[in-house]
Amino acid sequence: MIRIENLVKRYGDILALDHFNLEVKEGEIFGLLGPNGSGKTTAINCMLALLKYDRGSIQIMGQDMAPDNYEVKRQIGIVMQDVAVFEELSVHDNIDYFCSLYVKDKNRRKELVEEAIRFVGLEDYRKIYPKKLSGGLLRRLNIACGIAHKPRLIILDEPTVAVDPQSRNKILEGICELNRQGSTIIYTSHYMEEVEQICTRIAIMDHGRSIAVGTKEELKSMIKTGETVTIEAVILGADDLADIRNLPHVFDVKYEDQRLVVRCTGAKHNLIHILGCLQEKDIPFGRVFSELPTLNDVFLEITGKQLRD
Amino acid sequence: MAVFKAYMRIAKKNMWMILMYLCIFLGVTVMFQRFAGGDTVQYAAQSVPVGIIDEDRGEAAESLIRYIGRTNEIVYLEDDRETLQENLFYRNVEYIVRIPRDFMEKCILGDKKLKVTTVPGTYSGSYVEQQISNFINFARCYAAAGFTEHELGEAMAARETAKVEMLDVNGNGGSYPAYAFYYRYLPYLFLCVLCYVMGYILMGFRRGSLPDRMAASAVPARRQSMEGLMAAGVIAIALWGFCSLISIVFYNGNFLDSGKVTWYLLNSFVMLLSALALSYLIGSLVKTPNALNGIVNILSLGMCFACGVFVEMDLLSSGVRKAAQFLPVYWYETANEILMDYGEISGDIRNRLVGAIGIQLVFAAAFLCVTLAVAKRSRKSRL
Repeated sequence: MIRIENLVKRYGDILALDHFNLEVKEGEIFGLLGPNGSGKTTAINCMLALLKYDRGSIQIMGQDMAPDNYEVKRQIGIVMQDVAVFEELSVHDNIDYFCSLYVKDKNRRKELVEEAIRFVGLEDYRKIYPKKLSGGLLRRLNIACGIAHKPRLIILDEPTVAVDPQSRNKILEGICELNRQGSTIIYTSHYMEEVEQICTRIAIMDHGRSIAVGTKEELKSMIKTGETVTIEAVILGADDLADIRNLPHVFDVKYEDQRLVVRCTGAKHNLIHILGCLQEKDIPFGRVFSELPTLNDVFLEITGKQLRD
Repeated sequence: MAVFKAYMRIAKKNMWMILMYLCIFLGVTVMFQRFAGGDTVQYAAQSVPVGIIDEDRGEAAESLIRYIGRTNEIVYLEDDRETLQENLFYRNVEYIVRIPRDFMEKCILGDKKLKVTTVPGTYSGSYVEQQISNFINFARCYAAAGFTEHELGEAMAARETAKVEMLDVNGNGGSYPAYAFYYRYLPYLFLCVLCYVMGYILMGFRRGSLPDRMAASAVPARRQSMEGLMAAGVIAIALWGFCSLISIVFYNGNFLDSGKVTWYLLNSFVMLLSALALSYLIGSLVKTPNALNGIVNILSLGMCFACGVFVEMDLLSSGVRKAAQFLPVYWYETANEILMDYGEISGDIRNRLVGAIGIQLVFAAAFLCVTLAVAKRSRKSRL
């Protein structure tokens, strides 16, 4: 569906995309994950031919993407990061307007607009103007405007920024539904939970480069961390920490603010071994947490920094 | 025609504002028309309330009273000191003439002067005095020619007053027709309505990431621009058509028979093009409704005051007039004044009129070029 090769985009001295590569297959929900400023939106804008790039190539649906390739543009739906609707038009008129940029047949458009309104759950707000909608409803309207014409490829650029949990769930469910209906989705976000929840494949971006690509399981398997155990312990000495570090499968131990964080490779009984060690030494402890690796761990291990830094 | 329809929908949302400006415009037109005197200009001699104490009651005295009464208001008074003082104090009369017994013998055939009382320091006294002096002089001439008192009265009554006839240069008896005032104020309406409507529409299309959203859509940029221009044209022509229709309905025969309908319509249409191009430029630059409000008020009122819309051009200083030449409204008003001043448009007058209209067209083209340059620059900056 999309093939991007060695894409380079500079803003003066700043390298926004550094030989960025990407391949998205038809039917995927493809996640572009990265911190703010990692180049996600720049990549999207290059794909949509909104930005000129310095080097590389972009092919969408087998055709070179260019500002005047309206045949391809007709099959793309865009949901911008900033809400892009007319304040002067009602909810219905906004969706109808954006749909009419792609669909000329009036009757067909009427059906599509109604479908889009139902899809995002804005049936009760047809005649309301955007200024009177809450942030979540506004985002839903933004999505409806982007998907009303039933495109083959839908690009959603951080569609859940500043959205309440209820609307966020509705939006994520909707995206999965669009995918089930046959659309290929490109979803950019810096919320790793969202990307983990809905994306079939993920590319992690940093400094304009794609640093890791794969399914979430593949990405997690790329790193050493298989389990992170956190224990609230009151007193731990240097000897105790050394003993824990020597346990099998443990490769990193940190003790800060009376919290012991132990990172282990993927193996069974890691938690039992650590708790057993503490009991042997008669060390009292409070709450215990065991977490499987997240995409943040993946990002952390690859780049040495947190995803939300 | 998605973009065209969106323009029209946003314009429709501003319908109340358009109606408000139409009402202001019509109100201002009617008001100024009334202050400016409307259809006719009349000159009349000053009328002074003149008190008369007629002791003679003869034909000559009657003739004098009739002569003074042609232009003044005659008030017969009793010969009572207190009454006379009271009438003068309250300005019921400003001049009192006492016509003595044997007026003919004493004042016309003799040298006796009429006894008069007037309010000190008023010019009306000398004004009436001059009229009385005229009467006495004429009467003395007639008397010297052997006229009797009766014949003298008849001769004085037959004397005609001077008749002033206006030179009809503009085919309207020297006065300005009402529709000329209507067309004089039209630029204000065009500038306000078009700048606001186009400003709101173009601001709407430039809000947030909408330009990117539109650029990524399946409608080519050229087509979007064409549809936008077409919608702007339809809005402008609808406004012009409506205003022209109002002028035809309101001023009906006067306007249609003037022989200058085409010129008035052409001049206003070219002014409309200038206002439309300017409104497009403003719409391409402003970012907030407050900024739009400020700019439109300054531009529309500023241009209208400096270019002879609200203040007659003759009253403007030469400096203001020179500066106003760099504004299209000045040339619209120049053309409008030519149409107001001359009944027949031909020869040199026609050339001057065409020149003024042509300069407005140049302004429209210049505004359009600047708008296109601004649009191109903003497109480039996005890339």
